[in-house]
Amino acid sequence: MREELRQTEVDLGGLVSVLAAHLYSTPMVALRELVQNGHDSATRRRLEDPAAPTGRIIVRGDADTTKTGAATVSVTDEGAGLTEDEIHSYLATVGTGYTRLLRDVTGSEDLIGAFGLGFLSAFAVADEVTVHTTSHREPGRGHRYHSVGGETYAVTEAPARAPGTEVTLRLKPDYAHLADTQTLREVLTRYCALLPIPVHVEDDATPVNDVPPPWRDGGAEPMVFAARFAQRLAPLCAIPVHLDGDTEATGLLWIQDAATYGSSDNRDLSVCLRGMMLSHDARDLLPTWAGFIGGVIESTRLTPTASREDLQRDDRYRDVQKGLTEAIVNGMFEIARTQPGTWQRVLNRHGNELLGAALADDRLFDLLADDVPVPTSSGDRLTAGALRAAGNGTIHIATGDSGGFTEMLYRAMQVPIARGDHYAVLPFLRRYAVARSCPTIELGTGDGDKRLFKDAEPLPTAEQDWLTAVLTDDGEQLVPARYAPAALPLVLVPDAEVALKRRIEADETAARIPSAALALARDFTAKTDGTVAARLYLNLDNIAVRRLLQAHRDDHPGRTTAAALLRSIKVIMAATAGDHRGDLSAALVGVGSAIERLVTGDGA
Amino acid sequence: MTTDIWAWVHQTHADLVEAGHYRLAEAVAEISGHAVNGRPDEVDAIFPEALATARALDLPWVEVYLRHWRLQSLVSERQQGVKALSEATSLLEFAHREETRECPQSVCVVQDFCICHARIDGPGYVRERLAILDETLPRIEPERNCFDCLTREYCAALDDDGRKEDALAHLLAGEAKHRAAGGDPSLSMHLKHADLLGELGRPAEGLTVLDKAEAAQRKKPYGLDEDDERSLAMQRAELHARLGDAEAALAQLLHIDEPQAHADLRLQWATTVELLVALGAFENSTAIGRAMNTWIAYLDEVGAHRRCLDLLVIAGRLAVARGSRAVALTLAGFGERKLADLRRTDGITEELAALRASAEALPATVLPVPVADIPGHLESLGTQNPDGSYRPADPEANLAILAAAHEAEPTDDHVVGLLSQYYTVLGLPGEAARLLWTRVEADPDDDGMASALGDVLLRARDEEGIARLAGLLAANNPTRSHWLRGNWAMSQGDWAEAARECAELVAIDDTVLNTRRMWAAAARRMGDFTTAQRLWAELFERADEEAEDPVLRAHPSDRWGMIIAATANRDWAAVREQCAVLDIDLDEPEGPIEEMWHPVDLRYDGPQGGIAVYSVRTGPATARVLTVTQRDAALNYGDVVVLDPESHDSPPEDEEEREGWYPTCSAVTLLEPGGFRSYLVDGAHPGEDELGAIVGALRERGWGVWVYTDDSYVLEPEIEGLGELQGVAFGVAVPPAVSSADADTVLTELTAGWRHPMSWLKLAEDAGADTARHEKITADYSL
Repeated sequence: MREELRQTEVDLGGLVSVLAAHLYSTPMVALRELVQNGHDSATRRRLEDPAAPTGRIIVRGDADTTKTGAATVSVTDEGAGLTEDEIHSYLATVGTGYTRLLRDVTGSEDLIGAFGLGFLSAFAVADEVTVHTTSHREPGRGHRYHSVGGETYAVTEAPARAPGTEVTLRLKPDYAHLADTQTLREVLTRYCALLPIPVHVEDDATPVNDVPPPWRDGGAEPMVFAARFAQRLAPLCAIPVHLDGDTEATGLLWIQDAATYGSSDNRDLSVCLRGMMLSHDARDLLPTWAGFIGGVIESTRLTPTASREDLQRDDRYRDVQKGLTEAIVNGMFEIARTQPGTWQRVLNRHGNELLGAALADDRLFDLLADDVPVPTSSGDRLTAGALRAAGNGTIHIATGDSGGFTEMLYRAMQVPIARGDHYAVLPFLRRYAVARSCPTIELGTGDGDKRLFKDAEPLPTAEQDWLTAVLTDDGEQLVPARYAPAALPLVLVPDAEVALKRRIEADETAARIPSAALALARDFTAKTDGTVAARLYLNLDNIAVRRLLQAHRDDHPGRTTAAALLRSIKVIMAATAGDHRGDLSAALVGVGSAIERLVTGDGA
Repeated sequence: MTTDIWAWVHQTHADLVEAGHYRLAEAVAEISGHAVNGRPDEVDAIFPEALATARALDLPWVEVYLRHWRLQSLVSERQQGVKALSEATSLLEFAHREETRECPQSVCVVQDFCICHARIDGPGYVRERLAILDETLPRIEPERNCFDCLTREYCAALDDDGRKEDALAHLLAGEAKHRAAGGDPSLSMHLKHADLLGELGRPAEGLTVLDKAEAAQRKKPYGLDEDDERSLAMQRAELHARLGDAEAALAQLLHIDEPQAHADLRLQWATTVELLVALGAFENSTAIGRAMNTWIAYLDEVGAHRRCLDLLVIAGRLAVARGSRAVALTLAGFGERKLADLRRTDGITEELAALRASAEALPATVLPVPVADIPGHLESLGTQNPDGSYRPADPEANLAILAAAHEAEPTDDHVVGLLSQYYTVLGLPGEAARLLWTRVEADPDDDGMASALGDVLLRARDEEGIARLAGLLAANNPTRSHWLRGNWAMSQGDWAEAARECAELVAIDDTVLNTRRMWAAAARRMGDFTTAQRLWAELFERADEEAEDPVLRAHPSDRWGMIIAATANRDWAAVREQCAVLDIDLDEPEGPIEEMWHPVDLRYDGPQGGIAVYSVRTGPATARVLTVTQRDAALNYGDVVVLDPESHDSPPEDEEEREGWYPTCSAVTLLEPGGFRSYLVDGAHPGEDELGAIVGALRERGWGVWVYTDDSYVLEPEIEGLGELQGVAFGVAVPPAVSSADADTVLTELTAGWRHPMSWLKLAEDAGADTARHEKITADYSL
């Protein structure tokens, strides 16, 4: 029979390019649309003929380009099939999808298609499309639709087959990979997971969607379903979702097994509408702190965009967003309560990210405060409570601003120090300190210094003056204090404000900072008393310091030598900590002379 | 300046990814969004690590970038003024060093510095701000985003100077210049434009500007972000309110939760609400007054002095509008004192004077009853709820009565105490402290006032104030001074310090009860149970069960404190004595208590980490651990532990759920180590019957057994022909009297008939048995 070419009733050339370039982010969507058409066709057949079998969909791929010069993919269904009139009406007309018409008439929510664009999306990936179809209402007649490029098409009579439709795409070279059967299995496993009719790839005995969603009657175990669906990011434990009211969404979320670190974002959410995947990247429906959550939900309340790949950000969207946040928080409480072993694994895998989550949600803070591990100088497994116990009742935190001397303190104190320069640690511990009445010391901050170097009783003026004379250099203030470890005789802490004052007021700065801003900056630093550039915290609990003071009181002849030795130690320690104001070589020479004096007896 | 900031950011991000510094790359990509969209927690979470990495990698430009956005979060979202000035100055200096001065964001840093001053005192720093901008603007090409930003800042400065027409003209000229050069004016520019139009009495035009701006923004690749949505809604609400269209304004006005969460929205929200109140479209409630007072205190604390006063006059006028003379006068007084923080006071001085005048014009409160009867009168005005709770009448009305009473009789302590409480309730804790400070400074020996002030300061966590008060009281009222210091130390978790203060107080006054409670709690936290027990005993001796003041009676919680301490000290007689008081029946009349009560999860935070173990409670404050834990764990099977019976969680409300529920409690200390040694037994699952049999047999011998694995433990043996196998791993706790060699023999015998061999390598090592066999099993079964 001669093919009679007909014009598709739209400017398809333009439309297809729109579809290809804008509407669909991935060519896989074309496959989705065809599978969905197959599903709707089966549904339609059962609506029209309740006695009809459930039917199934078979997807085949042939990546071998040598046979026909192109890779092909075909989608076969056992649905209602089309009569010739229906081919003209529904395959070739944009915007009048029969599915929508039928849904409007029957009110059946089981039908998926909506925009009438579905079939034509095939031309986004194929340059040639062939359809064999036999309508169940005309079982004796078969038809073949054929179109190259989609702008024109022809319909001819063809031998009748069992009712149903087979669509074959001759893929454009760029999309030949779609015909790879393994790719088809992977993609369809996700896309069709919620589809109620079986979808087979090739002659596979089991359909790709043989694990029914757990929230439906006869559904699979949540973790079995999650493992199948999640593929790459395997699940660790599952959280069911049942949102009522305006949000009306059902599904399953899971905490991923792959470890996250800090703000890493592995959020992975698929949204289905009437069983067909609408968006495989709806991560924005999950809270930003939930970078370890995967899942799939279905909802009839969310509104798809025209591409049906994304969701409109309307009020319902925001309601679902809130509902999912609640579900995750409640789910985590439930896991912590009922599955302690699993909860421990969640904490180990995602501890770092959960520190951030705890800050974003008050209830999560309550849940996590005592359990979540904090990165420390002694590893990543200590909780804040353990850190407190190990720190003799105080949590020590190294801040990003810590001066070099804190490094030395770490080693000397021999207590684990929280890594305040790691993700979320500092704000988390600050909050913990308030919630649990826990003392913290932020090393290297003015406030931290105050807590670390506890004021000692003032020394008699004569002693203070003598110590100042023998131990300090210009700009240093001697502060008697008591602190751990007692083995540490002194710590020199530079004053950050004075350092800033000196830099702002330096002559060379004037050349760099615009003058108006500089004038204001100098107004500010003028308020800083610049006389004390560093504080020398002298540890009165230290044996050397105590002995030195005693030697001074006793007028011991060796006191000057001993003081000089301590002063040299100060300069050497400060230099090790990155403070290069002191004269290191002089200090080293000083150690030599002190020892010389001690062994020759001159020092005493 | 020719470098495009965002081009630099994209390039830097790509370079960092390329070099494998993913986390820093991510921080660079995210920090600006978090800063702009009002997510300060996120900024604080990622900033320290990113900064430390940038410094370690010696990337000074990245440091400038990160610090700039964090500073933006401080001065914009969080509205910090003086509080951020040190960092703003430090960054200004850092961004102009040799290695950073070419960084494109160095210009932004100058702006941050400028904005920080605008927060402190916008009008007061107009001259300097304009001078800085005059210096910077000529260096910026008009097509750059920077130009847009600087133009807005320039307008803001002119606006602050009261030159609104000039500001608008400057904005329009700048916008035109930016557009002509190929730039695309930002939404912020249009928002400022609309804002100025509103202030110039042209709100309808402002709304048109916003509509066009929103439409244009929606077409951009990123559309509207959260901050854009909020800003547009707030600006529209204000403009509609200016137009007198209350309905449209209310439709746009954000819920009070938004300004609560975002400090940068508060002034505009208050401005709009004031307009709406005037239109009769918004309830001028005590609640919004209280919220605004809290916001004022916040701005005061962060040194945003001018904003603080701008908000204060609005809150004051609203107080006048709802007839709250006392609140309005309080605010006026605070505002007048705060003028000293400003460089330039014209305008705001007049507004404050007007506020005071209108407040004073309100009818003064006439005392309904004599001052002495005021407390009782106020109580009679409130309502007693059926559940026993008491709800006071309108707190602002009560405050007014108390303020009048205070004016009439400034020395009435009761009135002062109540007045300070009402200030606190109304969000004016600073005023409460001020009132009490005046009294305490005038008469440091008035303990009632000192105590009230101490409470206010403790609640406000005002460390400096507490130190000052304690110092002031040290000589003449040392007990109050120690009490205050001790309380502060307790709230900071400094148990040793708290105990020291309590000891000094008790040395002065031996009759005290509450101090002993605090001291005993501190002693327990330090593990000093001897002292704790002594203190509880002393407290019971001194308690007076007939006393009207509940503080002077002994409570069940005191008795439980004694039980815990005495248990830790193994003083069973003392434990039994308290049990008798609490009506707790014990099986035996004397000796150690070892009963079977109920299951309990014990939490213990030790230096090695936290641990939770399943246990059985064996007495009022003891439990025996049942979990077999790892070898180095703080608690193990068979250990007897002192517990604090207060459960961490409350029982489920649902009766059915409550069936299987048992509490989680804190382990206080280890009372008696069981001496059991833990070993892991691992291998193929022998089947439920066999497993049940070995568990039973071992328990019969007095061992502990704990199965760690479930169905998900699957083995993939290396042995050919063996497919996947169900695995099982369990811990055994070997009693101290059983030698490792004997234990090895027991396990060998009990697993002899199993299809697959099990591995217990560590036990075999300790037993001196053949370890090769266990190593082989481990390898064969991929354990």
